[in-house]
Amino acid sequence: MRVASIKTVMLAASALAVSGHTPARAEFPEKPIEMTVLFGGSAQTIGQVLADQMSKQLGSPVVAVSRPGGGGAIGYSYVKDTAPDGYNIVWNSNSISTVHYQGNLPFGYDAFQPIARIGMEVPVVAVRSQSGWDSLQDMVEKVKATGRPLKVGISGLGSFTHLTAAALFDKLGMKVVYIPYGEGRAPAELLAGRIDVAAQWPSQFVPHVQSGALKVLCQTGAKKTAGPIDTPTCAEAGAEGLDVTMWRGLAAPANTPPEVIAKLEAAAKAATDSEEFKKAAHNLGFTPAFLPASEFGQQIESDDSTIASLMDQLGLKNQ
Amino acid sequence: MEPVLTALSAGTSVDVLIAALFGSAFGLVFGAIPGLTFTMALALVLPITFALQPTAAIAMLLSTYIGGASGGTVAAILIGVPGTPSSAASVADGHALTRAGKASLTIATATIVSTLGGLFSLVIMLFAVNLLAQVALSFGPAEIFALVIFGMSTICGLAERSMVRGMIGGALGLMAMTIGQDPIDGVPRMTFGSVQLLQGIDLLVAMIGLFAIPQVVETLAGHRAGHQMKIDTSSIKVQLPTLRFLFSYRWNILRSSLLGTIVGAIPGTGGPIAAFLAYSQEKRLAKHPETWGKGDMGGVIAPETANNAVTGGAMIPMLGLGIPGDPATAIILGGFLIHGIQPGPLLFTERPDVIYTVYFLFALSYVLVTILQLLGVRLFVQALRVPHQILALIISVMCVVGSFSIRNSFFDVGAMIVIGFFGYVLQKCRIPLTPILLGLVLGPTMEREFRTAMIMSEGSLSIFSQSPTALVFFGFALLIVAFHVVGSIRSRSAGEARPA
Amino acid sequence: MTTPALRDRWTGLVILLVAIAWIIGSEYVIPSGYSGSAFGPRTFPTGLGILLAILAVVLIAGTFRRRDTLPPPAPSDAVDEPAKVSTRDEMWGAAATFGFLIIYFVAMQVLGFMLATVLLVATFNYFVLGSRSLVTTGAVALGLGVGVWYLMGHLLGVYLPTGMLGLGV
Repeated sequence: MRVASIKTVMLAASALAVSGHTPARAEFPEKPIEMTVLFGGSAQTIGQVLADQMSKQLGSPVVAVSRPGGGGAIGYSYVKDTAPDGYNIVWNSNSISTVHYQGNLPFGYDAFQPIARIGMEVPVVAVRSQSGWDSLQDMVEKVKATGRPLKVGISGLGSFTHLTAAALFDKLGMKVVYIPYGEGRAPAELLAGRIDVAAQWPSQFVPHVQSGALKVLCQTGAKKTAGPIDTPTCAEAGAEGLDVTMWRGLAAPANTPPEVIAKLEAAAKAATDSEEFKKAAHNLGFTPAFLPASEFGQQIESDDSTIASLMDQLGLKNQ
Repeated sequence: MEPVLTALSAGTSVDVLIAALFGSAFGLVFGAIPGLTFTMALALVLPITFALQPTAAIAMLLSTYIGGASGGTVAAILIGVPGTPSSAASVADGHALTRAGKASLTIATATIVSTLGGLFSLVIMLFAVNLLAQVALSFGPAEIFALVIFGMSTICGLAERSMVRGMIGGALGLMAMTIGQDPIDGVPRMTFGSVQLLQGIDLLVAMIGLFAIPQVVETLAGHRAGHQMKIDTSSIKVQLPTLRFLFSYRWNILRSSLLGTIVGAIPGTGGPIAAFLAYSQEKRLAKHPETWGKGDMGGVIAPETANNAVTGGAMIPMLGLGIPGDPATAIILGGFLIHGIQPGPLLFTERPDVIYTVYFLFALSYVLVTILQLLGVRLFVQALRVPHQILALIISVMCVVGSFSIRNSFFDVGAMIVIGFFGYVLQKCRIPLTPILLGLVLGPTMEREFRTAMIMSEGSLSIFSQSPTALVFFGFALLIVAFHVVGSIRSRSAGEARPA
Repeated sequence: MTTPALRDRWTGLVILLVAIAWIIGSEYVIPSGYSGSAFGPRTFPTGLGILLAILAVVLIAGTFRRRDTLPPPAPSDAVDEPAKVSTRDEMWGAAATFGFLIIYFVAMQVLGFMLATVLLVATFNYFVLGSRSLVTTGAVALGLGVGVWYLMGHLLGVYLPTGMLGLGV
């Protein structure tokens, strides 16, 4: 009957098992840490697994709180306005750049202090198995021959999957209609034959690739990632130089003390390295890729300028 | 036969029962408190399931979902404030029955028909999961838009005395839902630069404000004037429906179950629309539709059966295709995946034991939820003994806490108070509130699906006329409107013929 | 007292004004989208505004047609019309409700859930609702404050505001 109590017992037990020592008083963290989660679906689930593992590392609960909406704007605004003491962190992603340049967030990535990158997610491009398209090149040739536009299902206009698909089809020089379905519906629309292509996260296609209904043409990263579905990179498949990947990580409001960041970073590293996290990540189709705060910061910065120029080029930039 | 036996032995161990019992109780409480929903309960339960063995984890997730889908009824019937949007359709008749001293009978009946609806959806799932998964896939943006228009037509049935007032309410609800971030282009609408408003008006916040606040005002005004609410407290005793009583509603229950299961399987719809559709369908078919809205048991049975049949329906695309139709089933899907179970077509052929375990745990959860609720009826009705001004005070506190806890946001509390104020004023101007809620529920889906369809067809309306399914639903909607227009003209001319 | 028809006329007029303001607002405030579709971000808000304006006109027109001959129909809404309550009592009920909610809303942000609930529920119950017994007043306030705090914060794991004073409850 008691969530909190069960959780406390579990936490206490695991804290004892893991560390064997109790942190001294008045040391961070003294109270529960709130981890704001911006999206639903697998992003939320993996965030909860991470929070659960970090709780065990820190010996103090890390609570995943859902603050969805506005493409991430709601959650980012909330965390930015909290005190920079490490008790409010955000499960963030490249969405900080997309939502900023879309014009819905008055501040950008520099309102936050990076803690650690946790993993990478690489969008993939899928078609129906009966489409008659064997590869990306094959599709490009056959569709160009018909002269009709390709219908591509994405998560939302200005979303990361939109950006990815736009970058890909721009490189391939194809005429495309983007159909925004919101989180998670594009695979169903592809199965039903209302669209030609879906650009989504690999885990969403797994059951249908296994059953043979769908096939994945390529993944959008420059380097091949060992995800749940084995597929060539789009660059290999004909879209030369394409490199779009999404990272997920943790960040705190700017000006959070470095020793607090260091503590959270260490807990994030231990959590990411734990067997439980690896197993859950594998089952959810998430690729763990830990990166410490400083390097993570550099990546955020360079990705931000890439996204800005990409969105500008595709006519999606409003800020 | 073997997978069934495996499922039975896996599903009857002690830890599974404890997990299911915990989930049922937890879900019920979340459903019962306005503002807390099963989506939130599932998000809180999910981390606990990480440490459990797979069968117990599934048991806990399913029972939390089912408990949450059932719990909203009690508050709707007892205090007239729905615990979840799915039970909003039950408020009119359910609360009227409470005022007539039939609280326990109504709650018990609602509990039992909820279970019947849920189990009916399970039976459909057993026999027609593939068929229904295909039906769900056949609903694209054009078809869902048509279904939502059909759903909006139920406003006529909710506000029969004045269709204009009902439609004003519906339009206000739809308008309120356009505030915030545009669902397609992502641009801000009517937010005047506020990031808080970008997330739009939360459906639950609006529901609490609309249903609870006018009621609190009314109770306090009545307290000041010195009279009590007309609840017959002398007859607060536990009364269960007889089998004969339930049997007399068999067609209502069957039709509402079928409707709920199908609506549940279609992505982007869910409990509230199923409940309102079932209410309006059964009201039209009822022998005495004039008693509906004033305390007719049929008006509780139809929506409650349908909104629980949705649970089985919603499981169909999740299990059969691995595609969740709403945030709640997305969390359940996450729980399955964590434990290495990949829902989808292959699960049925490769792991029939898992499928039967899910079916068994689904049924088990319904049994536990029913037992807990029937045991609880005795306790629930005691709430009516609390002096009404104190009850109003408790409701006010719960409204504030409930709207805060949706997103841990004080902005939502403020929004709830403002919406409550508008709701109160509109009610005084005799604009009914239920159509406003219907507009709020259906508004986002309606606009998103319409515009998605338009993007797909590159701006051509022929996407609707080319879809037989869409045409059928538009036809239904037209028929319902015509039915009510003719009805109201007839009654008006009858009224004018009478000497004034 | 105003007649129902007169009140409807005013209601219709106010709704008509709201609808017009809304249409103007949606045409000027909402930016155009970039999806390239003929149906952009303004389509629905503007369309709904026009629909509401038409409905308001129909409502106003109806008040002239009916000539107050019909008895006022009872609202067919979920919440029943209460037993006859004077306008004075009605205003008092509204003032009490919204007064409590607004003060509670502000107090909770400063004092946190527990303190705000216990203090305000007791004060409101005793001074506004006229509870005669100090014991009942205290019991209700403490029961509600501690009960909800325990139920939500401890049994359900839902977070309650702790306030700016950092009292932890």
